[in-house]
Amino acid sequence: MKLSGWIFMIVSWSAIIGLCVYCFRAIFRTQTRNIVYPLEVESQIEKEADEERAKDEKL
Amino acid sequence: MKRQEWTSKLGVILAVAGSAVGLGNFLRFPSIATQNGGGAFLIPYFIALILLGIPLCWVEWAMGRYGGQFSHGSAPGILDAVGGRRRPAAKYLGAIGIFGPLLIFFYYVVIESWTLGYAFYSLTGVLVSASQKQQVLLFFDGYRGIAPNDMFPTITPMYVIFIITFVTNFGILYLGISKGIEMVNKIAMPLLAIIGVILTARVLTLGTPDPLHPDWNLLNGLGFMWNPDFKRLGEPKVWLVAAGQIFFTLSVGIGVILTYASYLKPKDDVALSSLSASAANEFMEVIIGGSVVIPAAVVFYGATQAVDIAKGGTFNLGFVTMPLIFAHMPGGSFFCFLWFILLFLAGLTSSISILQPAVSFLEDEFRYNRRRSILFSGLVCFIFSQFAIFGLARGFLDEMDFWGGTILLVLFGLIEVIYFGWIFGIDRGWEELHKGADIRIPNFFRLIIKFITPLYICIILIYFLADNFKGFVLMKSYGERWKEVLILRLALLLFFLFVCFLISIAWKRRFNERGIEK
Repeated sequence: MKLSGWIFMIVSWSAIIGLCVYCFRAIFRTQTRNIVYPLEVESQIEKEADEERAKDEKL
Repeated sequence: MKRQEWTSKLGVILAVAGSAVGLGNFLRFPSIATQNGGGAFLIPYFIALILLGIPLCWVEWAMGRYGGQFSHGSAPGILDAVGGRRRPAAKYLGAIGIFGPLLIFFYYVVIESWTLGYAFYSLTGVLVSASQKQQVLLFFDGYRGIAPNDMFPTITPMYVIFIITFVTNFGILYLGISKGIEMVNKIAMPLLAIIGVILTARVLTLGTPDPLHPDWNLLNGLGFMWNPDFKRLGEPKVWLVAAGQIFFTLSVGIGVILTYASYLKPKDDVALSSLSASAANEFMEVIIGGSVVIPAAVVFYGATQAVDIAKGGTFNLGFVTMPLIFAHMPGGSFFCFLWFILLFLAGLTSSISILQPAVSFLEDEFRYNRRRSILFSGLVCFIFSQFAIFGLARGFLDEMDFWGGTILLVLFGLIEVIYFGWIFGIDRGWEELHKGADIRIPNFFRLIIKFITPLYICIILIYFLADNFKGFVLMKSYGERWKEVLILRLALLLFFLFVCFLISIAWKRRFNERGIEK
């Protein structure tokens, strides 16, 4: 294999592997970010309940 | 009736990647790359990926998700939604997005069944015991029923495996989007990658197996695939072949991505998902596909014979050369089995995807339940698949591939990109593409989608028609068989008109239902 062949192979492989790593890392990151833990759910429910209570008091 | 949905983002990405990764990744790509400049071929290939493939994928994902909001899961409904009320003809253009994939399925499922059959005969050792090219050719022709012989006096073994493959496809679809398609792709795609890596590792460790031929070694095999021939870049044909390969490999222009994306939620990301599915497909094509077939052929047959092997066509490469190569390897039966299972999984994940537009059409536009939709589309597919099985020697498979797998694909891609960039409007389209997006697409892609991609597709379409005008359009390549091919062509035309008729009925029913509601 000539040097130019090595260059084409390495550049092509690197570009594709780089794109795969970028894409799938971003996907797994966003999936992790979107996970809502039980504590967050509870605090969200409490927050909403407080807001409703405050509205009722105003009325 | 509530439409089905994907249960995870990774699931839909793997499903779209599974649709894109097919037999062409492992057989067609290495063959055309070596015939069109080796490593230098990757220059027009990557340019076409950026200007044609990736933009078209984004267009299909965005249009599909948009159409899904109006409970449309197939091209007629999606184009109707994108085109707006003033363009009632749009839905009839969408008929290509149902007819095209079905036409591909009619013959693709037959080829897929060959790969399963070959995997079975690899395990039993029958296939690898044929160490001469003539024996493998006899096996291939006998198995397909082209020339019955002592090994296969009838077509029965092939037909039984065809039925198994056919039922498997429809069985998966019967389970639905999340429990069927998504589940199968979540298992098959990682498995496909593992098998691909094992086969690549095996080929990359072949070294110089024949001491009598020191030139027949791995480095020369890789060199045959990757050494660039820059002179070939001056030929327009090389650029068009590269663009065509990008078109076929990414499953764009079939209507599959439209259907898959219609099952997304309105705020689900499409920009990153689309790019990820394309990246996974490129991994399978350039890295796995480019490392197995051609380097192995050079290692066992030398560069001179490898030229003929590459020119011999996809079927010859996959079903004749590869079994011969594995016959020379220690543990050949096992690696031959892995090779054909790899092709079968790649075929299966693609074939279930090309069936889904028709099933979605019946479910969404006719309100058929899944069982009825599967039975109806299954019956149509079974009847037309017989043409591909029993008309193989008459050139029926080539005819179906020319229209379904070449012309209609490119034509529908052109329709889609014009609808997105010009009728829906690039500004609205851009906004739609970025709804819930996890990445920001560079702005210059607006110009590419609006001007360059349609122009690029027009040139490819004209080239394909001109290149095949005498041979396929005027049927000169069929010789005396042209009358039989004409009958097939008329049968397919009638079927296309039937699809248009179904669309017209569906919209009349929809209109009447709305009237009653009012």
